[in-house]
Amino acid sequence: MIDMEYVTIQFSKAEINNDENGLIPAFDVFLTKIQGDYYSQISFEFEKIFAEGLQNDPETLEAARELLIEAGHVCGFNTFGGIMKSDEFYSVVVPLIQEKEDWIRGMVAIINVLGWGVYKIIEVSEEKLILEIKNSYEGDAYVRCYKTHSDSPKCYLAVGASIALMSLVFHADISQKPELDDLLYDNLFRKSRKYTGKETQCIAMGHDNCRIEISRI
Amino acid sequence: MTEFKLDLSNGELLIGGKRAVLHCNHYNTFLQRTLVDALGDKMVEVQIKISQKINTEMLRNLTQGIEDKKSAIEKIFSALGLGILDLNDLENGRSTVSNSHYALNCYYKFGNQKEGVCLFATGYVRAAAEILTGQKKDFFETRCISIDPDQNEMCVFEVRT
Repeated sequence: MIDMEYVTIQFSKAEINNDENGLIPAFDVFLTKIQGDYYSQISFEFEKIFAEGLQNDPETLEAARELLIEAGHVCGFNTFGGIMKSDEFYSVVVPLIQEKEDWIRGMVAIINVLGWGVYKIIEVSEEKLILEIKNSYEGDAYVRCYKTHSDSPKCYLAVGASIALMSLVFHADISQKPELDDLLYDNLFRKSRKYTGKETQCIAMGHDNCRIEISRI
Repeated sequence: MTEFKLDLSNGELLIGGKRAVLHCNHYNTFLQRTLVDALGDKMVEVQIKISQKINTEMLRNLTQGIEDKKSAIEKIFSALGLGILDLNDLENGRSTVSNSHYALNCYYKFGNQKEGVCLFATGYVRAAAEILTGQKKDFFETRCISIDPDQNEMCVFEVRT
């Protein structure tokens, strides 16, 4: 099994800084280092306004949340996909891989340098991924911004990106370096979708940690 | 000043006492577009105002005790990966961004845009104006690379009177 701490430390040393154009090209994408509160607050306000406009109808609220989770798919698909195809991943992680699940372990170890909180794998197989997140930036932002607990989980990015991670490893077989194009995206998340997910605990609701469960459809 | 501190024990990337997170151009443009497509102009204003609020707090922390605040605020903008900000004409109600992350990526992902897409940058410019002039000024994006990169070499932000 991969030494996840080793991978986290190796990637924490990577110089991910802006170039002379004020941009941060890395892993075949352009990165930003914007405050987590920005993403969280615009998402929460969107959810609130969307629901208010339709008298807090539960189905409408669910539709708004699905849109935010889809943004997480886009994030995971492109960022995790780019990282798992990168020279850096092949230099540090791939030599340690012994089984398919190690692709998940390696990528989760790298998530821990993104500022998203501390991700810990509770269970991983082709059928299921259970993650526990300490200090998730989304849940943390909710409690700080609204100074109260929510009655529903708030880590939309974490759920969407985790679905994307399972889809990339066990559905798209990222080890074969597929093109990360619209065709593959549609296949993984629309036409022949294989994974779904939910957040079963969230610090925004008053739990100690967040818990994400991804399962095969 | 523009240094980020990574705290692995808490999974935090800190700048100016605030939590930053790494995200890519695909997520940034998709999230912004999703919110605006669903709720229209209301979400344009929400995103600008939240950017203004969080950036005012962060920039105030980061520029405390620094003599050349303008230059520091420009450098921080680039350190966030958002392009090159020029605040030299700020007192006349104008600033520009070259290589705007949001504008370039919206253009490449979605094609020519009808309106400016640099909502985060608009809020950042408003925050910069508040710190540098001591007054709140309602800057708006009046030209954007994403509308027509052949016509607009850079994004322009001006105070609307």
